[in-house]
Amino acid sequence: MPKSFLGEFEQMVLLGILQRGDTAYGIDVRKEIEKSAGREVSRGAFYTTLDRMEAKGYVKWKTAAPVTGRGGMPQRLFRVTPAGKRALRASRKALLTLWRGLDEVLG
Amino acid sequence: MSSPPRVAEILLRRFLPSGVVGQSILGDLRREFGEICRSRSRNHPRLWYWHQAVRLSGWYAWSRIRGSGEVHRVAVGKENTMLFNLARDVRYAVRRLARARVFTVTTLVTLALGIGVTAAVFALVNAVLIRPLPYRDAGRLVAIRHMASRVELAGTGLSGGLLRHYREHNRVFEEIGSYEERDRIITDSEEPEQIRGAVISPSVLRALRAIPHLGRLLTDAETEPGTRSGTIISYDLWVRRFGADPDIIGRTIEIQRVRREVVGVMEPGFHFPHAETHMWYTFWSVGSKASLQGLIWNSIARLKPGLSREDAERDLQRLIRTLPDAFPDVTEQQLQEMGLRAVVVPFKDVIVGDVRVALLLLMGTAAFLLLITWANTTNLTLVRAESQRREVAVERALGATDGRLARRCFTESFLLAVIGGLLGLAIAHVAVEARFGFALDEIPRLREVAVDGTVVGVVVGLSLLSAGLLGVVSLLSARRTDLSAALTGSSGRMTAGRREQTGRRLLVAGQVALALTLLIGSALMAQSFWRLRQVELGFEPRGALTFYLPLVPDRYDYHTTARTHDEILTRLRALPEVEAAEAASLPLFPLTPVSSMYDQAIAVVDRSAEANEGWPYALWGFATPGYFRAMGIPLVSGRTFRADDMSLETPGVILSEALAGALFDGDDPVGRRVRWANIGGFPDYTVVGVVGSVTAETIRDGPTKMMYFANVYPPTGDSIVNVVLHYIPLQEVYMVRTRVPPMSLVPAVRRVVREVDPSLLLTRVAAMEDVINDSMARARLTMLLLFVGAGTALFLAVIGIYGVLSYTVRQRTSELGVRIALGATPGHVVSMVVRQGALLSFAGIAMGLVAALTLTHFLDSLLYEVSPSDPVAFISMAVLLLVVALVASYLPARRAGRIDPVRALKAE
Repeated sequence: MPKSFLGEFEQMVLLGILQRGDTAYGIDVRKEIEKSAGREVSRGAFYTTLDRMEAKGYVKWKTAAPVTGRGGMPQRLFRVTPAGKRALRASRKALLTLWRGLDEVLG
Repeated sequence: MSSPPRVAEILLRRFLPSGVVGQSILGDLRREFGEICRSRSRNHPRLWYWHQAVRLSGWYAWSRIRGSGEVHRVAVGKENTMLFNLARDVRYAVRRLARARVFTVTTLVTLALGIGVTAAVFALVNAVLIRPLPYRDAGRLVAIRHMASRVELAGTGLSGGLLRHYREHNRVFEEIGSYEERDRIITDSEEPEQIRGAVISPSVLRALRAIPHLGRLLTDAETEPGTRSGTIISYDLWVRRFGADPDIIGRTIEIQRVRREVVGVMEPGFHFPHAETHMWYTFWSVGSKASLQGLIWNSIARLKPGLSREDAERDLQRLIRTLPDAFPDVTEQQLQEMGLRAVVVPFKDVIVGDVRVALLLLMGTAAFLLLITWANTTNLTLVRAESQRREVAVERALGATDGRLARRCFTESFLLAVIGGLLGLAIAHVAVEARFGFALDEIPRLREVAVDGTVVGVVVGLSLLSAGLLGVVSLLSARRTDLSAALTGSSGRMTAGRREQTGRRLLVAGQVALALTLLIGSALMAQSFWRLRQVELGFEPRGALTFYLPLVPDRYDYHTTARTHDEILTRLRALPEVEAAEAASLPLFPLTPVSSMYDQAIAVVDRSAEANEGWPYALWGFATPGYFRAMGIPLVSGRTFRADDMSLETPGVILSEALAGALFDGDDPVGRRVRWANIGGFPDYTVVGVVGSVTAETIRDGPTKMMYFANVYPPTGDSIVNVVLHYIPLQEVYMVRTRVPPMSLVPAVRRVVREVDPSLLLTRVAAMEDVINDSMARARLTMLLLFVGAGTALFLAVIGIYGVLSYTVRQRTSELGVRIALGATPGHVVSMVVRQGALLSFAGIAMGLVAALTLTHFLDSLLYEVSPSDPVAFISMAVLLLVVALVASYLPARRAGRIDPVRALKAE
């Protein structure tokens, strides 16, 4: 059982990484989230959340081969660790339990 | 191909994490930047990049601040253990203090008030009394005054002749100067403006070692008869009125219709003699006479290095003996008769004046407050230590060393003292910014008061002292904890040891005593103030508007002057709101400072010869015939003025009762004749009436001896110029009695004056009642400050009583619970606690009464018709304190009465 539940934005970031699969580069993950959430995602919030979840051990990254258009800067490829997946699952379960039976109330 | 703005990237590099993380974010941004450039969907890619850079930097800066604790903790290695421990101690102390909320808040409030008030008072005393005057090497600046043991001198300063004599022949001064302040009107634009100026000898600025910001100082050549002196203006005036014009030097400005060239602008902050003096020019030196009867000039001199004031007095004494050789108007015999001698006083005393006593008193009050503060916080600490006995015992049983205990105690007290000190600094700052609620001219040097390094130093010192005191107190009482008793029995919890209890009670009683002393002091001042207000003024200030109307000499001779005044008075009387409009040459109140020229000895004509120096000095001035009736000054005998009282053949005067009594000793003076005792060449004057005396100089001085001459407008026949000392009514003081609130009439009065002459300027416009109130400002100052001090003391004493009793009640919860369970009624418990508070207050009040009896004698010089041991003040304040103390004890007592025995015992 994880110590605490994930925040909404943390969940979105983790899910975004999982959605991208093998191409979870930072820039693409952010765009993925923006696309599915339908709102702009602050870069500051995004990157600092990644750092925080790395510190918690939920995500890991490795340096990917440099591509053009980045001024020679490296790019990071993210993946969700097993601990991160467990945290996602726990959050989902808790939410589903809470949602159960409320479909009529909430439409 | 475009690349992102370089500066924005540099900014980002500063805030983003180092290494791959940061670089990859920069890379992401670069790519997005490239995409935006290509897509042209947005117009300003560079702007977009800047926007992102700033936002990202902000995010990272913020997260660094927020996360610093955690990052730091990881980073701390062995070498940083001390720092780490300190941080831990502080956090621990914060937690503990936060838990003891009542204790913490009361202690902080007490410390803040004590330290704040003391610091504010110190700032005031330091600026006014201690700090040297703001001139170079100001310690050597002195003033020369003259005293005569056997006659009354008119003025105690210098005359033009004496100044020259002393300057030429002395051996002790580097420079001597003389000056006199005057209100002057700048008349060179549509907006005439009255400005305080000073007529000075050029040597004044040299004595002060003043340096001009622009231009030059005044020169001795400008004092030669026939030259017209240039003027120097203050930096403030230069900026305010002349827009800091760099070409001001050489421009002429019109002062009182006299065109004077601006020759210098003084350096910023220079003022002399007062903060509001903004112009300096010089006068023709008329040094042919010693004029011992008219020593009207103020003096300033700079001692040569290493010489004392006594040296200077000896040298001046030598020079006084040479006066008969140097001046035709001084004889050896005259000097003998006068007993003239020179006194040299520090120039600072001249500036500070009589505010010293009030400030020293204030200092004493602050010291009292500080003592109360410390007594109070000590007490609170002791009480708190008791409630922590068990906690401390557990800590020590678990192996906490003395050092550990000491560190905790001192961290806590240090934290309290630092926060209390900061709050205190804020209080001092507010008090100083508000200038203690006084106008600039109410206290000398008030402008110089500031929360400066010295004041901050005092706050730091007081905070450290408080920290040390509280730390030692809490450590000592914690160390005294008896381990086994505290842990096994509940005795340690129930009641404190007898010794501590006695100590604490003494502290509270002491606080009450100090507070009572201050309260009695301020009650005495209040009573004295009240009595001053009851003094019979001799005239009716209510509903009277007063203002000065200075005319400028170049354009007015006696007749035009008189016609102008007549025209204005006539038009004023025509206003529907005006009951009466009259004028006099001297203000009704206050008459000081009046040039000593208006203070002359008066002699009775047919009784003279007896003793020349026995004649009383009286103020003299002019008044219009309706003046006395309009001002509510009763006509005691005779009649008021008629036009022929101004004639050279039968000049008439009216005496005030005080002067009539002094001259005629109860006889009816009407019809008798008087003359100037020391001035020849004028006619004798017939007394035509006696009017009630007014209390005119200051209220303390009582009824004034006055001699009034007639000023009847419109003037008929001869001018009175030759009747009375070549007088021209250049500056008349107008008195307008109104049917409406006086100040509401000001616009109408201005309109009338402008209609008569647009260049005229009303000055010192005030309701007479306000003038009277202002004259009591010094007394009000002392009283108010004492009140604030006493109020704070009372408040602190209440906190003390309340705090001690609340803690006692909380500690004795179980005991009181048992009592209630055994049948004690809540009323019984309440009265038990209140009785405890009452006992403390009685002891304190007894001590306070004794202390006040010995200390209030220092107030004697400030009191007016109130005895320093006035029983009303003593008893009323004691009762007040007792009532307040009882209320303070009732609140915790009520809580004690509501204790639920079941819960109280369960908690055990």
